[in-house]
Amino acid sequence: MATLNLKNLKKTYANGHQAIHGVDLDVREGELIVMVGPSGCGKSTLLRMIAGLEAITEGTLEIDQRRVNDLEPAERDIAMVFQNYALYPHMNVYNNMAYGLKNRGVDKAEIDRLVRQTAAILELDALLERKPGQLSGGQRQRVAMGRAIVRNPKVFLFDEPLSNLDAKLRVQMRIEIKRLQRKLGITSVYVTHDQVEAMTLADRLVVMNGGVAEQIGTPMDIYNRPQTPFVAGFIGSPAMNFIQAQLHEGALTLGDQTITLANPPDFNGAVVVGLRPEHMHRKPDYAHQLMLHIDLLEPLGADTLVYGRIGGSGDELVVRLNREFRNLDNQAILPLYFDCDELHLFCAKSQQRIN
Amino acid sequence: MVENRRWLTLFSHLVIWLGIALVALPLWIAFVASTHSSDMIMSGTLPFWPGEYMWENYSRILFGDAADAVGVSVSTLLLNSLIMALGIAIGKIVISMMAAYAIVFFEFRFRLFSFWMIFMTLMLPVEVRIIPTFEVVASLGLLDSYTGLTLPLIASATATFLFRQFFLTIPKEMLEAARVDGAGPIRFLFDILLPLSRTNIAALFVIMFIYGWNQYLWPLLVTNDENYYTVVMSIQRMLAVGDDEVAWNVVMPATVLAMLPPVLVVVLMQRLFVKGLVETEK
Repeated sequence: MATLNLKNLKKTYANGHQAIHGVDLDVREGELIVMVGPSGCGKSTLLRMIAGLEAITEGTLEIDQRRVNDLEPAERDIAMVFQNYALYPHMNVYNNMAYGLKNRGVDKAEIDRLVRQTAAILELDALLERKPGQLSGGQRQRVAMGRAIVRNPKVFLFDEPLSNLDAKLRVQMRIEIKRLQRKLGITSVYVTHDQVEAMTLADRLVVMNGGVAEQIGTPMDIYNRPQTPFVAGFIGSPAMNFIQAQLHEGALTLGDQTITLANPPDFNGAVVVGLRPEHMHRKPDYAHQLMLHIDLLEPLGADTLVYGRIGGSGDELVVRLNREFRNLDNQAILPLYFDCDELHLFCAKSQQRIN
Repeated sequence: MVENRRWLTLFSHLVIWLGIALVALPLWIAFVASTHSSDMIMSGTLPFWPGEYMWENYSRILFGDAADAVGVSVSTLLLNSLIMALGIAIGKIVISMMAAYAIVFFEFRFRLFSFWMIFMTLMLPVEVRIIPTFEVVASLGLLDSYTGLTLPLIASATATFLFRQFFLTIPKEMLEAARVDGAGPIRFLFDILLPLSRTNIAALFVIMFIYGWNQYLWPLLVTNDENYYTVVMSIQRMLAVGDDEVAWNVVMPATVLAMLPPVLVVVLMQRLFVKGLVETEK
């Protein structure tokens, strides 16, 4: 159990490119933090800075209140699971797991006990004599986890550990990782670009963009109250709809329709309105109405995605309706209802949330 | 070939047998010549089948002096060759592996420059730099010593390049995983890199052993003391008899014996050798 503190961490490469623009984060004991963002947002760099594989240009990194900026990875007492597993191909599973302990000078009997105990947790008992080349993707993934767990580190680091697995296995391993992390209670940082993985695993989520932590919060916080259009668009699937609109004295003009907001923010001018596809409904139980000109239907089985646009605005919208909507009578315009509490308003200029 | 044509098969087999005969015949003649008496060979017609002097010819050169021009037995010559070939092969592998390790895994000034410097010496054969090298070895007093025989030939651009190419295929994450596991640079080299390069090392060993064994010009230059002669250069000495008759019954067994160790190395390490050239184990 350990805490992890990032204080204004910055990274500038030798060629002058600044990858991380100052990130602050306090990770509590036993917490699972997921860093999520598009590729090139700096999430992996940040993780590698925590691991000690990438030098920290500025700021302080503390593990258990101890400054570790200048320590080697091995001295930081962290363990890392890599995307391509990075198992040693010439060692069998047992030795792969024992290697870190051997280097630490743990005695043989103790190594044996720890490796066997960890192997039992991960159901690797029968595979201890195998080489990585003889294992399936999921098994290799488990060995990589075992190699990390066996040392009982202060902090666990995961660098997109599931992206090399097929979809079914990914879901299975995701659940397994979460269960294991809960059971062992080890402070963890997990990097992924997959927002479903991020939402399901995280105690708290860090949404990264362009080397900046755009928002830090619990998954539901971030889903319910995204601070910027970037965060709003990144979390949630299908992505949130954005409509360019004008707000004036509490009246919101969307294309050719105007809505009077119940709790208007104190703002006048151009706004970006965010509305999630799942928050538009066909039943007239909601205060506001919107007319959608239908372009295309995408039946997904459980749901049907409806693509279209609203009159007087060029912005394309996606709506998630349940599967019963099949548009058999070839309706061109669909009335949809929503609650103005579900609207996310962002200032068009500062890109910050205003309601 | 996918087609199954009778005459084509026959023809290709014929070509193969012709090729084999072309390569193997001189070897056979050398062997046959080594088993006859000097008179028999000098008579002009060499029989096609081995004679009765095999034991006599071989034991004479193995245990007695090889020839008047070479005052030591062929077993001494073979031992010298072996020391030289092993020294060169092992030395080359150790040095090249360390050089490649530095170039691939460490960040330092002039890294690329050093690589290109090494790479460029690939284009220079030993013979080009042989005079200055001799000068250096002579000034260091290394003439007539095993050090003088092996050391100047140990640096190898080819092996460094091969190791570099192999090291580049090792994923960066493997190094990082080892760092997280607490392995320093030396541990990483011995625990991870060395076992992974096993097949490469075997392939290089075969190539470099033969290279070392077949050295001719260099041992000829740096040895005056017969006790440091190598077998390949001695064969030339045995032939350089001026107006006298060449003692073919001595030269031929020596030649056959000189061929054996490289053949043995290739045969024994063939499996690893082929693996090292065609396969990467990752």
